[in-house]
Amino acid sequence: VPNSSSAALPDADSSSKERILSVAIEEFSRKGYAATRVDLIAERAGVNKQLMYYYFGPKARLYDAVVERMVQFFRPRVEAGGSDKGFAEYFDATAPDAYGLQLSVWRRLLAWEGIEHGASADAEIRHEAERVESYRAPLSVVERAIANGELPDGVDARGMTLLMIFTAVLPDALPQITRLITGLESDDPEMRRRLQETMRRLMVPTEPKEISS
Amino acid sequence: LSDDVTADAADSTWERILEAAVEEFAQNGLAAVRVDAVARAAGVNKQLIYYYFKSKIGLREAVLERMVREYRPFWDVVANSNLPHLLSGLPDNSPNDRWRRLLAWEGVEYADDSIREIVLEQTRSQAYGTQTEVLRREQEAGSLPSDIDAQMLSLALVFARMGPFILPQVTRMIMGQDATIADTRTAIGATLEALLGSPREDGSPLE
Repeated sequence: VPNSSSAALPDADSSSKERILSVAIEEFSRKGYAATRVDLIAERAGVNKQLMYYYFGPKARLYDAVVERMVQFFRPRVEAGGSDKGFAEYFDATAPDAYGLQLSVWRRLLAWEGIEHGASADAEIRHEAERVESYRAPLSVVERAIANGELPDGVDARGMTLLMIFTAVLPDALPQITRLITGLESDDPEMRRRLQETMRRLMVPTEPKEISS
Repeated sequence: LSDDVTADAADSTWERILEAAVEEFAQNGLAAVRVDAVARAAGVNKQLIYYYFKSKIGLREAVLERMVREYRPFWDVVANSNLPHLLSGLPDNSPNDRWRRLLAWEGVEYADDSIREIVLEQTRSQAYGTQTEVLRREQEAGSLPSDIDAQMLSLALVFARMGPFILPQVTRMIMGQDATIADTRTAIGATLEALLGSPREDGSPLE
């Protein structure tokens, strides 16, 4: 959660604003947009509703602020220090377990955004241009690895990028399916480790794979 | 005769309520649904819903049971499948988008539920288990490396199929505005095939 230190927030105003935002992040990530009640956010943040409206406006604007934080959070992690990395290096730098389980709050926000808003071709995506720009990093890393012959023929840079994101985010979005298939909870580090190792084994070329036909 | 007629009428009312409930639950999630809204959509009174389904929980279970039943033909196809078909040849894994939405709702709500109960857990884990079994069979046949964790690969394959529906916004930002769902499936399927080795020569079409 972003506001780790209250010392960095000198005045009471910005500290209650941050508190509202951090409660809102948690509530929206648990319940999504539609089912979240702003009264409850104000109550949990220990402020009155008027103050919350004063800072953020109506629910939709509060949600905007939450999504903005989400985009800010994911951006450096998706870009992982630039697109000049080799594929193996990029893969390891973005490994989901590299940031620990508090990441699941943001992954669930991302899943809620997808589930609730859908994405018909004309549906608006918040901060779309900025986010498309971020995804250029994995896309160009994979494209370069394909061009260098590091990845097997037939790998599609977009397909590969989507697979990396899906396997990182979906345990948090579909924890029941995770348990039905693996018997483990999505927040079990053992599950994360095994999934990540399997994806690494499949995606990162280390030794030639021997497959009989 | 009149008993039969009454029973038929009751059946069709029950079906109408369930149908309305599936729609409502797919739209608004399993927790946020209001029984009033289901009653209104089905054109019945609320008491009748409680009479048939006991409670909102009962209604939710009936909806998930229906989902499991409708997925059954899909799992039958999986059971008779092989690796190449699992990677890119499977039929669309859901007869209807609303089931994917239901799964998504169930997932996000499960994570927020301290009891962490899964409706029809055993039946459903057996269904997913058929896919894992196919992978293990391929490992025994030597067409899939034996050091790959079959359970985790099975999970990744489900995520590969569900991903475009759970994260349509991310899919669009990566695939581009004009990409269709078929384009996305092709990009992911081709990548999986390449990563897991070319499909075997004898991979004959299923249908």
